[in-house]
Amino acid sequence: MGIATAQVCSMRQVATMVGSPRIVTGKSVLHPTGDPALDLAGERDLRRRILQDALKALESDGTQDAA
Amino acid sequence: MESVRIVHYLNQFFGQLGGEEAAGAGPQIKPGAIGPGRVLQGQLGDGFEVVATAICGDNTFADAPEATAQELAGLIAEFRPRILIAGPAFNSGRYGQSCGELCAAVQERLGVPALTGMYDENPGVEQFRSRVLIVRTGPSARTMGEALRQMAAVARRMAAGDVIDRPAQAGCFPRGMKRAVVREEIAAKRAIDMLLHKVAGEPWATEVSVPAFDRVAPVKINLPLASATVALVTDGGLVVKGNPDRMPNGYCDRITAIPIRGLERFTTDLVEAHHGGYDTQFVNQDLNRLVPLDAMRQLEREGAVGRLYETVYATAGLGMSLTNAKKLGREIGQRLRQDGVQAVILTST
Repeated sequence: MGIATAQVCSMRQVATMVGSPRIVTGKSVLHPTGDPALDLAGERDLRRRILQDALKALESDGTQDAA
Repeated sequence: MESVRIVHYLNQFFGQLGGEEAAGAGPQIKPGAIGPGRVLQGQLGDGFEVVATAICGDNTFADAPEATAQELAGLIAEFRPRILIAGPAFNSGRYGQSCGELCAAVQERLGVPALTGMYDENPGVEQFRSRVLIVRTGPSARTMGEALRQMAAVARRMAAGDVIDRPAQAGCFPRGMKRAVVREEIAAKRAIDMLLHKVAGEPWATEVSVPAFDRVAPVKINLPLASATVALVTDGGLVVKGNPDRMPNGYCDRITAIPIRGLERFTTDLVEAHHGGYDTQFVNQDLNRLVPLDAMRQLEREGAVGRLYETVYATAGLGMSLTNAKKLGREIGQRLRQDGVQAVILTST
């Protein structure tokens, strides 16, 4: 039995090309789960939303579509 | 004129010491050709002589590859070969590794060019093709005749001083090396020619080789996330403050483990980002921007996941070879599986 994975990633095309099965778009290559333009509370909300998307993705079948 | 002296390497089976029960046989060398070496001799023809056959059991070699290769290289040196030919190993894992290891050792230590043969799924191909010339063979000894014919052809070219700088055209695995060449025609013309050939259904070859990525079937989690153990992993270069594992910030060859037991969030006194491929200033102000520990702890408390795994595995994904990436990925996967982790959230920069 393998391990289910979800990838938080800003370079979505790269992740798709290499066959990553569940991709959640991160905020930026420089800060995938943060945003220096927000205050700390705002950033935590952002992180929470990204993680919730990742957890939702983990419950899905996942895909294997090469770009 | 003296014949071109060849030393041939075989495992215990092809070297006629015995089957699996003889896999513990030690390194040895015998004068003349043995078994497939006789066919090889025939294929090489006049002007070549298989002067000796080096033999070793697969298990002996696998247990101590470097030491065994060095010992065999010493035995082989006494026969003063111009070329070492090892195998072919077909799809045999231990034998392939032995052939590759020995060829590399003989080239490096004796300065004698070497050649082996393997099937393309033999792990030895990926392990050694950058250092050793490997002829592409069929999967099993049923293709011995053809494999030896090919290997003899390449050996004859090597004996004539050809460095085989286009291995793929010689029926070998590419060594992954690039060489500058001057082409008569400009790139635009070559690209259009390539396209016309493709459209016409004629043979054409790309000038840019693209690595082939494995397709790994997506794994479906088989229990509710609320009772699953979930791990956070990153390729963004997270390290313990001061980088005690000395993880390189690019072309990385290792993983690092960051313990997070009892930690509510990452703070800059405990961890930092060490990565040469992106500007780390923003994540180094707040490492939760790279690995979202604070928000994950909250979700853990709320019961969205059963448990957060108490180690974050990290590496720095910059200029990493596919071979290294696979190796490190497997290492992380094995550790997580051993500890009963069912799901991973990977954050990538």
